[in-house]
Amino acid sequence: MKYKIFSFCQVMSLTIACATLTARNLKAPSQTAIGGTNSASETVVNDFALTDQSGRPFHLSQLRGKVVLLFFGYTHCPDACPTTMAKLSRVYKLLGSDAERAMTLFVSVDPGRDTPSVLKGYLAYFHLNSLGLTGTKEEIDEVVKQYGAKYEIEQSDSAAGYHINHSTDLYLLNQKGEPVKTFSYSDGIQVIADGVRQVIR
Amino acid sequence: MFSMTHPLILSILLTPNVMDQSRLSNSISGSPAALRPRELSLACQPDAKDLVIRDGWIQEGPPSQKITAAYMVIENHGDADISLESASSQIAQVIELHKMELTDGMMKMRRVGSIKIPAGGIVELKPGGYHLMVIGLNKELKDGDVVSITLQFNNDLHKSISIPVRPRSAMVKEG
Repeated sequence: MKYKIFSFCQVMSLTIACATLTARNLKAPSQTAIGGTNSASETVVNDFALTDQSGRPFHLSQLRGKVVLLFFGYTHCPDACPTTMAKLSRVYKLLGSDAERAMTLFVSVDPGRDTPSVLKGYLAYFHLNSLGLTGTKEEIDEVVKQYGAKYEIEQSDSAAGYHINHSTDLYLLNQKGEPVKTFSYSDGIQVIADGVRQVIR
Repeated sequence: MFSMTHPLILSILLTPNVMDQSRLSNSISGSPAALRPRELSLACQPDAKDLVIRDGWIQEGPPSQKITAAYMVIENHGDADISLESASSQIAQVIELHKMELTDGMMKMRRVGSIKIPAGGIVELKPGGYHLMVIGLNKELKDGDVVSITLQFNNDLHKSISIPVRPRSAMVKEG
């Protein structure tokens, strides 16, 4: 299924490239995936801009040379987000000395509650080489779209307030910021560690 | 209640050889031949002694977090369905029953009114499924602490459990 989408979009990309000799302009940093398509593999832009957990501007391009594990979540999440972060802290242990060549990015889809300092405190707990990222809803939505992730805010009668349904894929970006692999939620720590190592070496 | 027990009594009386042994063995110890209608009728009332709650744990979280989740396995050895309807603990303002589901490529959470544990059945509250949503923590939970939670079931049944605090990383499966 994924292959079909991929090849279709490859063909589309090629068509666009041939039809417009200015296709390279699409690589401007503010540009998201062509036509708002829905898979990381179709993304032509390998940068995005958000705000990091210290409140500083962040660009993905700052991390050139590092392998990046990118996840979208929110700190009020009781299950999928702490599970993924806990898995990654185990992955880092498996990676040993390679771990310092990997950076985890936790992009919050809950800018209303996840301030930079909340993200900082949250991620410190997991002992990862990581950065929490936030931004305006528009900025976050752009990045979500860029990687084919998705989320929806759901109002609830829960005392915890609204909750957020969100995709749980983990995106592996190489040292150039190119998405090279998507791990599903069911992938175990060994699978993720192997995938990271393959890119590092 | 009588309408539930009656066909079963009939089946015992009329066709002892085709009785569902496994179902009965969950609820009544001893030989089925020793059953008296009165005992069977009692067994069909939800009873706290039919409930076994095991492998419970509550998630340690970042110190700033005011929410967490608790998990456990609930076994119903009785002859009647039992519903978990609410839970409470001194460590939090509120505990709700929530369910996670991976659908449409998204991990979706919803609050549920109750969790049914069928007669003779088991329900597992586990990551990616049901959990107790613990909201408004009033103390920081540390690995090794023990937390007491009272579970309220239908028919005024309640059961208090003490479960350990565990970091999520300790509960992640290998592989």
